[in-house]
Amino acid sequence: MSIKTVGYFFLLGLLTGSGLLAQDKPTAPLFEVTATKYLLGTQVDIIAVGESVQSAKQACYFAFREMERIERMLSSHREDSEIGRINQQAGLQPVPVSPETFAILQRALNYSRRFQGLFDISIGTVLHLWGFNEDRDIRLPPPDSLRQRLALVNYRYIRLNPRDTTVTLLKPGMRIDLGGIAKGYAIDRAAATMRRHGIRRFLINAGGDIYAAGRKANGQRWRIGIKHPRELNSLLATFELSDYAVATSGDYERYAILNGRRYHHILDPRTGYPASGYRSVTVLAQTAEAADVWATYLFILGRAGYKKAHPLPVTALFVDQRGRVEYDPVWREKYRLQLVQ
Amino acid sequence: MNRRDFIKQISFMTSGLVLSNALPGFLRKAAAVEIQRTPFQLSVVTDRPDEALARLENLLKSRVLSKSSLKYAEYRLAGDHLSDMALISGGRLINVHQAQDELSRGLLEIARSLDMPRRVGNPVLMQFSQDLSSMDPEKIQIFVRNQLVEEIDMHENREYLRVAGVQGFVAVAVRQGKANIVEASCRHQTCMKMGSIHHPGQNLVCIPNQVRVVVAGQHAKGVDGIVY
Repeated sequence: MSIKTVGYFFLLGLLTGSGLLAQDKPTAPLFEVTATKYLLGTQVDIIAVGESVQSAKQACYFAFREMERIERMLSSHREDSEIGRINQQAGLQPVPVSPETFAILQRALNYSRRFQGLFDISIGTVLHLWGFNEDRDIRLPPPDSLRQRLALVNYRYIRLNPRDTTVTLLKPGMRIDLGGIAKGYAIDRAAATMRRHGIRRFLINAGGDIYAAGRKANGQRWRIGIKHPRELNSLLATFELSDYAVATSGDYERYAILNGRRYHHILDPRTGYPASGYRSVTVLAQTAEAADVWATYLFILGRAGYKKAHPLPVTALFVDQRGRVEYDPVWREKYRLQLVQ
Repeated sequence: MNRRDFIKQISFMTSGLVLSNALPGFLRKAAAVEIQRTPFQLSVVTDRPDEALARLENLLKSRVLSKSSLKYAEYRLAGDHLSDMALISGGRLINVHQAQDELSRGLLEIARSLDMPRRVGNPVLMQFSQDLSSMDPEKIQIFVRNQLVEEIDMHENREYLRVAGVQGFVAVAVRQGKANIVEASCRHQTCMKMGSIHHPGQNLVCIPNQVRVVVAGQHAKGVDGIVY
């Protein structure tokens, strides 16, 4: 080893020892500020790390406002939202929408094509029939009604015209629902807002979909728990996250027990019935939108299809109907996954 | 707890006294629980949160934060409360009237400028702490739209505590240190299926009613967020 090399390692050791190379190590006094708001039909929590409480609070305020804006634009429950207007005009005429809504619809359709229809935003009409996401009881739909509605579930019946950014639902009775993508998108937009307001270390948790940026005030990565799909107040596992997103699709959040069977809200677009192979699928991805969409897709696809499709831009943890947990080694190696006994 | 009991309890744990002569109920309970576990915690109840925050932040930056980071949380308290402060430092409840350190003097000055103590309606509770895990671990707190509306000792049994929510109501039972939602006006009643909670950081949420039932404190596993 040359003197130059020894010198290099000595310098590296000094820098590491003094913490100069430690990413996000606090160099100035820091506050870790928590804020909560009800948005997107769920509870949204933000933890923001900043040198000033006021600036962290302000960033949270603008992030919440951004999420509110997205909810007004994309909610299928609101008649005045862009999605609400598209649904009202199903089978009638093209509806002009903002470039932003157009872009998210384009991405949703790209996912549908890539996933061969296992992710399909036109599932809205069947979700509505079941009563999921509605303020009424969840009920087992009559087979005839389900068959009729299922015939309207096809992303190919959604026409996007990039020339005038119009959207047309080709069949009357169609209904799109962005429930599988909008929350993730809203988190990503909120994350961009936080950064624009100078906060680079934060965690956004919107009803269990999470984006974690940078590190905590103490310099450690954010510690995330995965909810146990049957013991709902326990954790299945914990892991660490930084500059990455995570989302879970599970059969335990919105469901009803009908005739002694569990019916949950993640519907298989091929059958109109809840996908049945897994209790939960947790996905790590670069963006919350991708984590959100992939979690829904992989929940329906299952572990066998997931393994066959490798390599993928995401990594997933599956809990099957017998409670067995399966995951890629990267969960343990990179994200320090620990199963809770 | 009357003032005599309170002083007795505090005296037992520390040689110091409290900031004012009559801490509001909220701060009084917090102080009693926290005093021996927390390296640093400042709780402030005020109806002038913006003014208080600006001044407290400057003071804490110069007197506390040079050594470490602080966690901060705030929420509104329902009803009438006494506007005041409680400071715990180094495991002791500090009487800033008598203490000679700069932090206590600074806090006393801020308290005076905020006209503390006095009775105020629906104030904001601001908490600065080094370690949230020790904050109020013996309590069940019930929030409606982020406003604290009920606080129950975990060891107190309450069979049916009805709380008005945004759309209707939620009824909470606390028995033998566990809380669960026993009735709710919401349609899907997801909150009732969530079972019971007893560890710090666990919570039950009724989204339609915007009601949150929380076991105070940080999650036992030290998690910052739960994915579900």
